[in-house]
Amino acid sequence: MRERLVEDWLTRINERGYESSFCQTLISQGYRICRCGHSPIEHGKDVLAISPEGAVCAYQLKTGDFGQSDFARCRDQIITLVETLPTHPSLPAQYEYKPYFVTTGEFKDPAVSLVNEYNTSWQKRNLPTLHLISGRHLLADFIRLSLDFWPVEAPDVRRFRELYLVDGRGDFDIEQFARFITEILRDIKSGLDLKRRVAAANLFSSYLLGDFYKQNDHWSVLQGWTVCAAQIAWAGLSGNHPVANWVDSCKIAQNAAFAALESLAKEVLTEKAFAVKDRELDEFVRTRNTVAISAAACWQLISNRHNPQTTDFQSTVHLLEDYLKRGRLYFWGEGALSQFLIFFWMLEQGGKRATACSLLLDWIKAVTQKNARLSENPIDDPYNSPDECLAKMIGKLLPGDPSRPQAVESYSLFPSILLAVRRNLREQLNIIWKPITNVSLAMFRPEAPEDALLWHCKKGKEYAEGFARPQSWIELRKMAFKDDRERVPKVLQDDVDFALLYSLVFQHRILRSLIKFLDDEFGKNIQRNDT
Amino acid sequence: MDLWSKAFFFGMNGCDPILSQIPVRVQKEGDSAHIGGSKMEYKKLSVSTSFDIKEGEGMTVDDFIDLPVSLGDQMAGQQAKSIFEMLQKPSPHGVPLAWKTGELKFEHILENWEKMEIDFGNDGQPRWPTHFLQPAAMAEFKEKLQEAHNTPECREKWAQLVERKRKEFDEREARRRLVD
Repeated sequence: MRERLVEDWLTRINERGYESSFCQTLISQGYRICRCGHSPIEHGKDVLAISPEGAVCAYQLKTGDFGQSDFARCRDQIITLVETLPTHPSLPAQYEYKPYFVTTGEFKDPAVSLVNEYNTSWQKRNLPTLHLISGRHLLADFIRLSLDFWPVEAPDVRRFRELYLVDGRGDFDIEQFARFITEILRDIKSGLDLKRRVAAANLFSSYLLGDFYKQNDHWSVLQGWTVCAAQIAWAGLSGNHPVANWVDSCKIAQNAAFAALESLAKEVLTEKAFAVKDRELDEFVRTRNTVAISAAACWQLISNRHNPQTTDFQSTVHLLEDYLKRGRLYFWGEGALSQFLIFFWMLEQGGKRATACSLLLDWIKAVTQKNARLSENPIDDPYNSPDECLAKMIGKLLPGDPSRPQAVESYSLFPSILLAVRRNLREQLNIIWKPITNVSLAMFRPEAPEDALLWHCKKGKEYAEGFARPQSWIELRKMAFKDDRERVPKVLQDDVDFALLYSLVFQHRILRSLIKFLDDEFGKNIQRNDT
Repeated sequence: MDLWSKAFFFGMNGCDPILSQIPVRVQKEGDSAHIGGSKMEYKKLSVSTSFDIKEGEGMTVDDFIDLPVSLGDQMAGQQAKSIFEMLQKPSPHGVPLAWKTGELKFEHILENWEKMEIDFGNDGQPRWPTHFLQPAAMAEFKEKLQEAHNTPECREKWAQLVERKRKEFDEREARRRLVD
């Protein structure tokens, strides 16, 4: 049954969809991954790794059965793979080179015969020979790595079945996915056990994200891999395991998330990317616009750190401005603070300070007004997904069962005010301060910083408090600039790009320390002096 | 099971007039909560029911729905009881008012309100606290207020209380500001 399922997945997956699991099999055999992913500079080498013996291995990944005509179709790529030596900063000056051609199907005999002839020719020219890895080989590796971690208990089996049997178009259940991965990563007994479990986490993530790869649902793919990477890091950090035991697997998941983010960012800039092709509620369409543009902006903010102010960066800023002006974005609840923050930093980095500040103050005013104590129609808290918020909104229009009033709080107001304080917007805040004091400020603090990497945190404290009356501006400034990055999980402190992606995906994890940390990295116009 | 839960919550949320006015705060994550600097004390409440096992015979639709609705109602009753126990502790937002039947005095009411924070609306009128009383006690309470309204001395005392409370309110409101 399990073998049949993996086989079924393997026959349906595209190249990108099995890249991460393939890398994971290499890591489990002692290889070190240098590069993973399709790019314009790959030159036929999708994956670059160093074997335990020190040989540099390059892999070209394909899908389906491979015949002589397929070989002819890929001839140039294969020749480039074999005849050009890979270049990468982490490769040694001298090395033995081994090129591999991998497919999820089988190599037909004529294709194998052709490769043998090419190999003879390459051997004579003192070039490396091409090795073939077929689907049967991959299947054996995948099954071996995931063997001990298939769900056994009924609820877990049901969860896996529901996560696997999806359409792959927007029906990704992130909460259930996170729960499934957490089950794999809990109760780790040793360093070796950790290695096996993080490998299994990546393998199962590949299985469960397969249909989303197939449908090019980049948002679901990036969410899944971000959750997987964060939870792998949690497993390593919470158990104080040596970083070497988990970091490579974590990187694989991160890379897969970044690859999906990049794909989405590119798609957003294509013509008619936002075309609505069916009857859809406008709030739903605007929510989708917000999610897509924020993901694109997230990618541009990350790229901008390494390659500033590219054309794509500017195009994304213009797109964002245009959608803001035309009211084509929708912040569905406090969980949209993740998207909001990305927009805010994007506008600042794009030189649109006034728009950014105005957006921030509008957010503060809206939350203050809607989430005042005893408000009857507050903005939904960040634990509600966009779909849940939209469903609630529609539900409010329909008669329902009696319900009790909920305590009204805000998770996003304090962090938003801290951003305004960091930009010295005292005058603007002063005007709206009185109603601000009528909002209960909610916060969750995990017991240990790394617990924030879990989707659902069992240990920790929730707080609901208010601003002091009167509130000292100097105290606010101190809070806004206090360096409390020790509350930020180490894996996020060490990788600011992943920290930004994490904040985008973990919409309910509104951590003031993380927002300040990200603001230090991505914010502009921060005024440390009080003048 | 979904129908059972729905009926249970229908019973719990829809039956008790006091609870239906008190906002609920749901703990989303973690294992403890601190509200306004005080640690929340969670108390586990439970209700149970039983039904006869019959050979080859299930419940009628009415019985099937009534059972969880009634359980929900019982749960709401337990919650209300806990809330009343909590309200016995005086705070700026709630002070218990107790008297022997027929012995309520206007001064009791004034003393009670004196201990509480009273807010004022935009219309400048005080927002007096809500009282949860049995019907007979409520009738006596209303009668006493009406009597006081007709007595110049009591009206004067009331006006003085309103002014004191207004001053306190204004002072509280004045503190809702940003300072250096």
